Amino acid sequence: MEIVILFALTILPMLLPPDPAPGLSRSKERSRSMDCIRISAEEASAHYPGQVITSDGRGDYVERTAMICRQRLMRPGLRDARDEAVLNALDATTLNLATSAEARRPDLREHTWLVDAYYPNAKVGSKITFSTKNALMGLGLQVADRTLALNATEVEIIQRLHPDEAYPAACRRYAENGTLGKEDALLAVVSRDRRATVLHAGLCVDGVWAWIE
Amino acid sequence: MGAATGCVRVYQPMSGLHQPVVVDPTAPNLAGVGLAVRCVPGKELNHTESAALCRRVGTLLENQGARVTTSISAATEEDPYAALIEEQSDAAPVTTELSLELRAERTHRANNMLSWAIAVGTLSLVPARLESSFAQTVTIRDANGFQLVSDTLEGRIVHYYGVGAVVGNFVLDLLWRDKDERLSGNTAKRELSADLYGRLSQMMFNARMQAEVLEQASASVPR
Repeated sequence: MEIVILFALTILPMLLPPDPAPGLSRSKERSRSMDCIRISAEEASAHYPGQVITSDGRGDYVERTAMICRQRLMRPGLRDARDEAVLNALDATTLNLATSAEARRPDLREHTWLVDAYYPNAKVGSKITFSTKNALMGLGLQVADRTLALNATEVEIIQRLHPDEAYPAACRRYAENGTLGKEDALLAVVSRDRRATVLHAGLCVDGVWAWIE
Repeated sequence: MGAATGCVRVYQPMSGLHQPVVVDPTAPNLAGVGLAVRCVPGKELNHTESAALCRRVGTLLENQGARVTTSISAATEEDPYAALIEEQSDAAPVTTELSLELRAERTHRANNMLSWAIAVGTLSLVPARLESSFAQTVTIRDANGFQLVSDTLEGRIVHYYGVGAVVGNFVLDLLWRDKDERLSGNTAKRELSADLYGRLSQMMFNARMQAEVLEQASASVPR
């Protein structure tokens, strides 16, 4: 009996495929640092040739699937949770915002587009700006690196306003002080609330602000 | 044999469920929002389980200040357009500003017969293994039916049956593993609930923000 148990314990790891679930050889932290999807064995075999067993040509009445797991770029907890959530979906978010802006105002195709991000963390803000510019350029729009500026008094006043008033006020000032010209369009990417993990965007043209749906 | 020897359940979030959550689910994030929660039973959750989920989600969102009504749909995979068959509301009817629909599906189930054979041969010292994957589709709409947020949260539960799994994990939890790494008891259920309710709270708050922007965008069409 002992021999049977010993034999079973010895061969079991070879018989069972490696499992991404937490267990003897994998911690919960490591398991949670991966994103996984389940796909058919045939699809997995096409992506990872030689690593996935598929049924033979005649079929063996066994439905096989494969779980594909991808390690996240950053270890969980290394970045602030909100930054992590925003950056995880940054490409998709900025593409969506740029597409919405372009669709909402097709008449601005010949304008020069400027981008500004209003996000508490400056480093993340610059990534948001960069990604949004890329998305606009991908749509064939002309994008400038120019930054818009307000003087210290204007910034102090605008910072005291509610977001619903602050962004239109800033937009108006950009047009009045001439930093945003007649041929310019500003796409502002905004984090409206510190509890939200989504970004919103507003469009400033000729001193008129409009939120993009 | 599984029932006789006990079972250890292990939860693994696959996608969406373990995304970062910023909102505090105990804070009034949805103060005054009229919210309708609708649960659709399916293969993963039957009618009773859907009702229980709806009640819990309703309580979760009420604790965040929302005025909630819950309903269970009779819709199934075979009849997705069936009418609502049950509606429950503890409070007076409220104006619905947001609606949340929860639809759970089992996406995969695997019962490893080889592991059962080995478990029998070893008197369950080596555990038998059964796993199932699920997908929880979450859709949030505004009062006009416009889709604000939609996501599919996927996870899996692996069941290990046998004396070896139960005793082995109990001993490891007791002597070796940190508190956060323990697997025995109700850990899987607790972790899944924490992930699901956290994500739902975050998605509801994001939807509320989206609704506000949408309202302002509609009010200020430029040109």
